[in-house]
Amino acid sequence: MAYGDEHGAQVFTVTHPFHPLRGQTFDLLAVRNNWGGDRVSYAGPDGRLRTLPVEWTDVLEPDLVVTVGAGRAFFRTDHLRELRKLLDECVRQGEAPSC
Amino acid sequence: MTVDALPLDTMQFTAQYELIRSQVINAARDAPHRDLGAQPRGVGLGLLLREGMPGWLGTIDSVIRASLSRRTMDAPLPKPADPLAECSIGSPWFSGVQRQDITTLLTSLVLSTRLVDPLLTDGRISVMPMNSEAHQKITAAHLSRMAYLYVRQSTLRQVFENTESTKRQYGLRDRAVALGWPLDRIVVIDSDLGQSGASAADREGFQRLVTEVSLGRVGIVLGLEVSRLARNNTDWHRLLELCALGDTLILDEDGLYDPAHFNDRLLLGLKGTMSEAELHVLRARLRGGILSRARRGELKQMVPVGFVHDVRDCVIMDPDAQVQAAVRLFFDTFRRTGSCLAVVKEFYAKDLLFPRRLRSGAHKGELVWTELLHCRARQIIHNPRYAGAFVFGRTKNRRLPNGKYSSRQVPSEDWILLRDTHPGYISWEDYLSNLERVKGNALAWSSERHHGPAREGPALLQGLVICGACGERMSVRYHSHRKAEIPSYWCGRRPMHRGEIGLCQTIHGGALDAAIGEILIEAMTPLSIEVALGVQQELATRQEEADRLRRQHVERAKYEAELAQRRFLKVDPDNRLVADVLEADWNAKLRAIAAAQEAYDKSAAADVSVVNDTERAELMALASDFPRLWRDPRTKMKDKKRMLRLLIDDVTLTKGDTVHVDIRFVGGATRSLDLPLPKSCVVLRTTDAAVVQEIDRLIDTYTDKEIADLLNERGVRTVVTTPWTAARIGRLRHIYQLTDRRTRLLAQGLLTPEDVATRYGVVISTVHLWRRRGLLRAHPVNDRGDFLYEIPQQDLPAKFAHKLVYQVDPVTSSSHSGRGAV
Repeated sequence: MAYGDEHGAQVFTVTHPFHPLRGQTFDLLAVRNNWGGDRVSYAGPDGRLRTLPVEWTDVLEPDLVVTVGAGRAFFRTDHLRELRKLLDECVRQGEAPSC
Repeated sequence: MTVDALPLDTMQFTAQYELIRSQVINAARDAPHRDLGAQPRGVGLGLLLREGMPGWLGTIDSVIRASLSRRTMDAPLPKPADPLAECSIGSPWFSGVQRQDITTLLTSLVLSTRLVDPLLTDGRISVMPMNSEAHQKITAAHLSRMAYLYVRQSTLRQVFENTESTKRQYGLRDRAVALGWPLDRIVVIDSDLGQSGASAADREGFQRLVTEVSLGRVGIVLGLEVSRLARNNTDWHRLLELCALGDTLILDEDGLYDPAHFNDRLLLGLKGTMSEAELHVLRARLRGGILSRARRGELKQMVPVGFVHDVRDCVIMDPDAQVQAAVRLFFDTFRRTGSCLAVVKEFYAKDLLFPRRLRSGAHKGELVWTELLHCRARQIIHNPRYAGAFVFGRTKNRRLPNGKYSSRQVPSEDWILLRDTHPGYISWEDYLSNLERVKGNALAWSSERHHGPAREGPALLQGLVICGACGERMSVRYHSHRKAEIPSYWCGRRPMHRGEIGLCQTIHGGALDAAIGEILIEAMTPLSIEVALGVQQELATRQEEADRLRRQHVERAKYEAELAQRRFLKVDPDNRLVADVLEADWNAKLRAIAAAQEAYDKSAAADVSVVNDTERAELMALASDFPRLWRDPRTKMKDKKRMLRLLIDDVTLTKGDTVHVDIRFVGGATRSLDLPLPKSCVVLRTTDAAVVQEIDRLIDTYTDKEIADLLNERGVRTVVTTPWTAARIGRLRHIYQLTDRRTRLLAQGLLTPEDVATRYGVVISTVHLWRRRGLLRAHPVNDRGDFLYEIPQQDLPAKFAHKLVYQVDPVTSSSHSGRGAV
């Protein structure tokens, strides 16, 4: 990962496992906050300026939960908590059957 | 005449003096300027005070002589060597009596001025401590124009309470008179009383003054001090520039200035700067006091509706139960709907009103009940007061050139925020959660970059689908099918960007959504929940390592900021273009540090949160509760989507021979599956081959009507699930080019009625009669009563045989006997 490297070209790799550009490395032009999210700007294969969410690249450190889960875990505990709240909320509102 | 004998009514003297002076000035206007002598001088009191009585009378005399000579033209009067002597000898204008009166008058005026003006010293006549050069600034050109006295107080309170300043400002009118301006040529502008001098935008009087100066109508501008005229350097220097161009003098309490002179201009500029600086100091002092109180949470502010101040100025909930109920209903509705707009809609639908406290006007402070507006709903959601927090500095106002104010949102990290300072309607956690939900809703406009909020539409994967062909997010389209909305996921972004026609890919959403739902239910097992809890447990036990990893984000952000700082410091300061960009980059990196730190704190808190037994049991119950709720038809689509977003990051779709689906779960696990391509409309509208084959087989035995009845009896339906009819069978025969029944029967050797009639030498009606009597075996060709006939084994029946006996059972003579074979 060369993001933030003061010397030489800065590059990044697409880490999204299903993205058509997965595994490919590009020169990093900028990381900017566009439309409420960080986007990586790069010159695409066709020479056009393209952007990707920073989470789909190795510009950021991999998420710790995903790293520890090592592909075994489907869910995250904090999200399950939220899901529990959501189900309880649905029940409270009487819009859904009692769980 | 002694001083004691003089009347001391200054105003009376002044009026008489002005009368004489105005007559002289009028005469001077008529006279050519060159006749006034090489030195243009005023004829006002300033001249009298500077040069004494002889000089003043001499000037007046010269003006009068010039005027008279212009009128007589033929006999110009000789210019006297001694104006005073000339006047005393007998001026054509001044008689002896007039001269005596004028002398008495002016002496009285000068003496009275000496008595009332403390600045006069040692018998030297001087109204103001100016050097002789300054006195010479006033010329006839100045005096021929208007004197504008500008009076201003910053606030109405000062106008009423600080009356001495106002009085002193009005007192400058006497200075103008003393300098030679008649009363009727002194214009007092006091329409800006109560207006701040920070800007000229709202000061109508100042604008009028500037206008008059720019039009060259003003000889002198009087203001008690520079700060009265302007506390803004822009306004001040603009006025100076116009005064310099229009040859207008400026007078304040300290002296007389000509803005066209460098020294005066410099001094006035300094005074203007000091005036503005003084305003800044005043503001800073006041602001400092406000900030100090705000940091202690003691600053009394307007509180939002739902709160009031008690007698001790503490913030409490509004004792009005109706107000409280309305605010609580607002937050309850938002908790349920998750959207400000939805709250507003619900209030409108139920015809509910929301309280509002008037902030200004005659009814300030009163409570009114009005319709809930969306902007107001957003204000309430964003206001930390409702979570019991004191907050100061959420917005910063900036004054625009037109005098209006522009309000700018201040980042929350720059607020003065004190939590739990008073009771609130929601908890701080709820407040933050609400902000997150509103923020998520706002991202709907950036659908290509974020999944956006969960909507009511039936597209389960709305905002979560990524195109496997181009990597962009796919959008949702709906089409109606039998009054139901069927989603499709479209990707047309890349062709659109390239100006191409067509779509990247489009995938039917019906079967896909159902498959995703089933996968979710399959994944929500006790084992998978255990794994998630295990990861949480592992993170808690490896807290130190996790902390180190998370801290790397912060360290990296700091490193980036240091790099940006280094780049900024290396740049040539004169290269402002580059320096500005680098400075902006540095600021962005500093903001990134704050964001990384916040994320670190949040994640660290989440990592170490321990799952106790009760919570574990609740989470484990999801394995049974979730599928039940998911499959329940009463569960709203919006809630389903909210659930889905807690479980799945995104879904990548790639269309080939099949629809390849790749699912990324939030925990990091992935799942892939292939779905058959949905049938196209043509295929969906095509009759199954087995049915066509069966119909083909049945044609050998039955007519179209009989085939339709037979299929309907078996429960077979058309592609549009309607019952079969003879017409549909006929169209299907035509489309699939099935051989019709008549051709088939003829191929089997059956005869037409005509052939039978020829063969037996009878008419056709006899053939029909034979068929009806059962003498011939016939097979129906269609449902219109046409038949084809089998060739009898013997040459029977003979002519008129039908009149004898029945040879064949009529019931078994048709094809109905074979129905059971179908």
